[in-house]
Amino acid sequence: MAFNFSFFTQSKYTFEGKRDDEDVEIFLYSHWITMVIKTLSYFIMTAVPIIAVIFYNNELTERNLLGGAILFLIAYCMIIWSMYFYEVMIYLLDTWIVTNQRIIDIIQKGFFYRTVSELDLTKVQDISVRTSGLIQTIFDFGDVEIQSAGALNKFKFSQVARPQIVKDRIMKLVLESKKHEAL
Amino acid sequence: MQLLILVAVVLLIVFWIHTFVILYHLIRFGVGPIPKQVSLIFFIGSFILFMFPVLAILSIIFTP
Repeated sequence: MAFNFSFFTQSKYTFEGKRDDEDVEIFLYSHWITMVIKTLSYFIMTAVPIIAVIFYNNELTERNLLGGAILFLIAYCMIIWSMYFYEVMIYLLDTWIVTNQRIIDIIQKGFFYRTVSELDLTKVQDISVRTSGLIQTIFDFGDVEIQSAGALNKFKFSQVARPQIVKDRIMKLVLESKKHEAL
Repeated sequence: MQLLILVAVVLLIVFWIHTFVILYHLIRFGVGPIPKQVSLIFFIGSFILFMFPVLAILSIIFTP
């Protein structure tokens, strides 16, 4: 039986509830810089005890504590590894999907805690972009807020890359969708 | 010593349950190829990390 691993490299961006006649136009995560800051903090948290054990190697050996320290270090690394990938999981599952029919906002707040909201493209009234601060300006990321007709809450894409381009593409899709509906 | 080994085994089971739940979320709810690639990296890394305490426990048990 033939089996390939193409799902690791290719994807049609299918998701739960995807309609047959629906195409994914934009798929967004938060900007990678938000993950870099977390990665660096976890790296420092891992590196400091490892360096400490290497630095105090002779003293630990003299007191016959090296074995215990290494075991503690392994357990500590396993906890940090799990915590870091929990953060990565939240980052990768907290996404926004724009199709040719609707906008889907998926919020992952923890294990088994997920909120999925959607907004029809024809209901979009106004889109605004907000970039605030030096880092957001340098790395070109920010928030995209979508106001819908009659909705209480705004749809907010937080800290997405190139928000102006995202806004323009959504506006184009909204116009096409409204034109299609009018026909 | 037996109590120490028992605690280590329980902690390893908790570690694998946590790993499984993360893998489940990434594969089940992940959209696109990146969550699948990350889940593979996470699984391989978790297995390598898991082998260190297992080897340590085995060396404790089989040391005369």
